[in-house]
Amino acid sequence: MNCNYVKDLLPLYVGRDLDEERATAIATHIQTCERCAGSAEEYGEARNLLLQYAPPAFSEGVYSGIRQRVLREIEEKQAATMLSPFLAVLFRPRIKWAVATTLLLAVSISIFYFVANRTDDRQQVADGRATADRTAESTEPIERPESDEPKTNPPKASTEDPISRIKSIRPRPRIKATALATSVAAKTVGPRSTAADVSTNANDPVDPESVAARVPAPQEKILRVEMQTKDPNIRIIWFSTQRSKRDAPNKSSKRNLEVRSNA
Amino acid sequence: MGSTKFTKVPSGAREMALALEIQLPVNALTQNQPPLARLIERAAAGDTAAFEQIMIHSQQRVMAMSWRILGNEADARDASQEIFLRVYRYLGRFKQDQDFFAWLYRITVNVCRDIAKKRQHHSDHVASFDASHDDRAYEVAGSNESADDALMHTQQRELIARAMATLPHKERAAVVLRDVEGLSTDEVAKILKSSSTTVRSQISSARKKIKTYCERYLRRHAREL
Repeated sequence: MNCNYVKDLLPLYVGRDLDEERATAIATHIQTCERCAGSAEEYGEARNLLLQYAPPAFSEGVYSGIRQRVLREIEEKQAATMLSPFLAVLFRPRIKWAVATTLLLAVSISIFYFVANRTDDRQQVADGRATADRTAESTEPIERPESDEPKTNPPKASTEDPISRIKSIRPRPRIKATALATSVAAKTVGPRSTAADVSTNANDPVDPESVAARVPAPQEKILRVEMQTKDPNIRIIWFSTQRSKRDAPNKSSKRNLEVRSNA
Repeated sequence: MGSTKFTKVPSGAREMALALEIQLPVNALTQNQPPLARLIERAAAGDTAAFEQIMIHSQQRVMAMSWRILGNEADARDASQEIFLRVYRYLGRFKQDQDFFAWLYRITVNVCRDIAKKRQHHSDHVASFDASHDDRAYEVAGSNESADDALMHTQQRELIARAMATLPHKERAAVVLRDVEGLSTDEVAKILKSSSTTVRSQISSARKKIKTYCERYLRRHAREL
């Protein structure tokens, strides 16, 4: 056994980490080799120092401080877990994905429903306007009443259901709005209606709302207009049939005008 | 550690058992305290009082080993706190047929390695072994030594602390477990999750470096004198 080989094994020899055979061989060698014996002694001293490498004497305060901090942290974690067990369950990986997918579907369906409803509403409004336009185009211009009121554009009108008109009449506050009555009445009555026909007296207040409620439905052949005068006992009912544009509106309207009185 | 001491050697076996005196270590459980296995079982079920008993039983070992690996009290305190938190967290995985202290040493080595790595990111030093600057570094429990002896021990401790600071973490852990804690090479290999051959190599390298450092230091001081 040469010195180089022994020199490599001396650290393990001094710590008794070698097998018995090699330990015996080294022990024999260092008995005859002063240099290797000196190295073995130095290794022994260093190891003795290491064995005496003791920590300082920590006080009980240090240890109790460590224990208290550890126990406090454990309690905080336990409290956090107890306060939100449901949330903790929700945030498990699989359940988290399921909840997220459900929420996404709910939001998507809500948006789709909202957008679809808005589209329907817009479509309905557009249909209503188109219907009103068609109705206006199909009626004749209406004669102006014999008064000093400024002439306005001839209003458009069409036939309406007589029964629905009767039902829609409601007591309303009376206002003087002869000009309004002219234009509104013209919308609800037939092509030959005039403000004079609608009201026995142009100065009598006519309920514009009752007239306005009676929007004639398209493709009606009989037109009936009912108006309640200021006098609750007097009601004017006007009938009209749909005639061609060449006919004078005055002649037919005078024939179909009816005034009812409850007196 | 515990040791057995015979005060008397009677002829009969029964008398021998009565004469047997067992010297227990300072932190040893007395007859009134439940055994460690039962404490571990209760602590794993969430009993913090039982876990506190476990901490009391092992705090000196943990603190001492952390101090030897990290080299200063502040890091050793942080390491001990983290070690016990991990012990509590993973106590459910501990099997009763395992050696508790070997398992504890493994956690200690891992935590000390993590703290040493974190320290390296903030500092260029391998380890801040400030045993020489520790206020209580020179207080040895129950010491009745003279001033000269105390000074000598202080210097020796400082020397070893500086030598340990030059070692990488794995070699430092291996030599502390083998030489200071007195564990066998196989036990150290299990704790460090290495082979026995690797552990022997690390121990051999660590001892060479410590010896070389001590030689140079003593030669330098001898020249100065």
